[in-house]
Amino acid sequence: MKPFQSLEALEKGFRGLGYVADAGLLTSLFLLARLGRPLLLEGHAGVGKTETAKVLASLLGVELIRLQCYEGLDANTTLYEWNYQRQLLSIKLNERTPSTPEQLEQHIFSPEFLLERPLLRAIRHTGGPAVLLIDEVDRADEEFEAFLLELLSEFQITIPEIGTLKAEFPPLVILTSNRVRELSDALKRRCLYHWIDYPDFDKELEIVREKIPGISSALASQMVKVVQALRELRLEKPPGVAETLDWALALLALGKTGLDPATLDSTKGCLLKSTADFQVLHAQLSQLLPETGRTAS
Amino acid sequence: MTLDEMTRQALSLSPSAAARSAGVTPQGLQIALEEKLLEFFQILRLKGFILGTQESLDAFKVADIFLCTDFACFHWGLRSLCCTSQTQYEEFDALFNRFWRPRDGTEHIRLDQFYQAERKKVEGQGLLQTTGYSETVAHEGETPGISGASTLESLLSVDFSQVPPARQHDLEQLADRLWRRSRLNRPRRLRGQKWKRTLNFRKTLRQCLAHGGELNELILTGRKPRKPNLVVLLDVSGSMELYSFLFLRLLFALHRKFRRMASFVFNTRLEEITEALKARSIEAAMSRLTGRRLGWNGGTEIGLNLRQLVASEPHRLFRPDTVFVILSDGLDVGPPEVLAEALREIQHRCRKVLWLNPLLGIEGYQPIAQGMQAALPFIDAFLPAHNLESLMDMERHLL
Repeated sequence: MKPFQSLEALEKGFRGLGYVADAGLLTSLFLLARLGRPLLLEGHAGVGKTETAKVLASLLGVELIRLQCYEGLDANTTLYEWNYQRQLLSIKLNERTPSTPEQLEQHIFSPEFLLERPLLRAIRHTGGPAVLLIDEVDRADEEFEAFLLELLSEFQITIPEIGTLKAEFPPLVILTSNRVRELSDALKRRCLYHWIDYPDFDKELEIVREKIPGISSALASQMVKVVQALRELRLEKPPGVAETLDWALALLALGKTGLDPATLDSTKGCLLKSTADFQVLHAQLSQLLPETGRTAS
Repeated sequence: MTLDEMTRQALSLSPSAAARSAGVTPQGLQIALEEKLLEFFQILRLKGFILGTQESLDAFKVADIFLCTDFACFHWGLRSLCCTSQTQYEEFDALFNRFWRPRDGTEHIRLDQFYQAERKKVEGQGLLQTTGYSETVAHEGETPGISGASTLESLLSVDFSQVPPARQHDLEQLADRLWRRSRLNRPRRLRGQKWKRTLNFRKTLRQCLAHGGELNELILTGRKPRKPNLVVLLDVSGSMELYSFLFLRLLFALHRKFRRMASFVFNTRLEEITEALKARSIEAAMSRLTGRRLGWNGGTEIGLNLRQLVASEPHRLFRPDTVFVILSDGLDVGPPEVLAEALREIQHRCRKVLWLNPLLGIEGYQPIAQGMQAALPFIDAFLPAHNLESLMDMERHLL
């Protein structure tokens, strides 16, 4: 069954690959394919934004083309670059054979000297649309955003030496952002938008069981309860789902079957990433694990 | 049969069945639904959602896909299409529910009522704006939980001392948002070479083609420009009380943009607050600061403090690429000669000295206070700092 035939098919597909998605996200993904608009995903760190694109690609059985954005990223690095070293070598090799400058130019700016970068690869993808993940787009600067806007509306680019290339199959585009910087209204308007929130207790428990089959259900629910309570505290960096899974793996590796304050304290580094947060945890330790806390004392 | 009844039926039945039972054609129903969607979009636009024609067309498609099969998905689909940030979710959901499925007790909204309410609001604002700022708090009572973009933007040009306490939070929100958007975010293109200059292959090759492929000149990329070293002094004396807390937020925002930056607060004494402002969140920074012993009031002795600063750590703070910023109203109680002497020294050692004065925004203000008079000859730029617009303008002096 094709994943984009219906919402149920999509949901089943995601679940089959171990990704528990909420219905709102699935609706947005469904529309991503139907409307042909890019999808902008926002949410706290570690809630599975990048994972969504990966799962979508493997569900469709197509290539995931990933562009990681960073400060100073420019069009050359994302679209194409000429293989300068090879061009220079070729010029040297052709020195003895008589050729006009025009012939030489035509030769060294032919496709065999072209290095494809992610965006060009997504446009030239054959055999069906690729999934293009533009990760952490808020880290790139505004000029790049403007360039992206143009690309996402037309899915065509012009390389002066070769000509205009238009995508045969416009890629399915997923952008993610951590809100380091406010994105421009124009880009946001062009995209579908979905905010991935932290999962609730039941969903997170389901995710842990799905991803880590070896874990006992008592430990899993105890863990998820603690993580959910931690998110309620005023932490600098609340733990995401990725941290929960790391923690579960750590507890499994240590051979733990239940949680007690000492275990939580010794494995806190999986969940929290700053000393200030550690202090908050220490102050709340007895509230986080009330039952076991009593038996221990 | 009214539009509402038709829509409600459409939600429970397939289009053709609904049409048969109501005696209308499927096309008629289609048109009615499209009108209803357009009406909803009109309301969203009035509420500040940015939606173009393409969005309307896509909304028809969303309705086509979901409306008759899954109403929840219709809701999520439209939300995905119309919202551009999580903060809009709540407002969108409320409007959606009031428009598409009014429950008992909640009033169904219609476009014409909406127009009237909005018009009233705009007229009211216009009247109040002539008196300095628009008191929208009273109006917001009509549409709880919704504050339009325009009401926030109106705070841009209001003097900080004129902002009513009820809108203080809005002001801070707007300030944080603006600072996040600030141009200071923009990195330079020619970065990435910390060592020596590197070869620009693209240009070199182009150039050598002109000589038949003979490589006789290498073209290099430029040196990476550096952000300046920033030193900021904030006056927290009694006369600056209305401004200093917002300026602290500005300093916090600047710390995220400048790696080399030192911040100080002063009244009669001087204290460095760089470490406190390097906290991860503004709340954490503020709570670190409230623990300090320095009184957030009292008189000002700018000159003495500056002299102390020059004497204490000249090598860290004063470099040829330092931009030195003073945020103060210049009402100094110390001797003006000391101030002039210290500023002369600082200007000599730094690239630029900026003085931001919130009083400069007041019409008719003349810098005739003794301290200000003494300082003016040694300042490279004397700038107003009474509202957000003027603060945003300051950033071009920083690079």
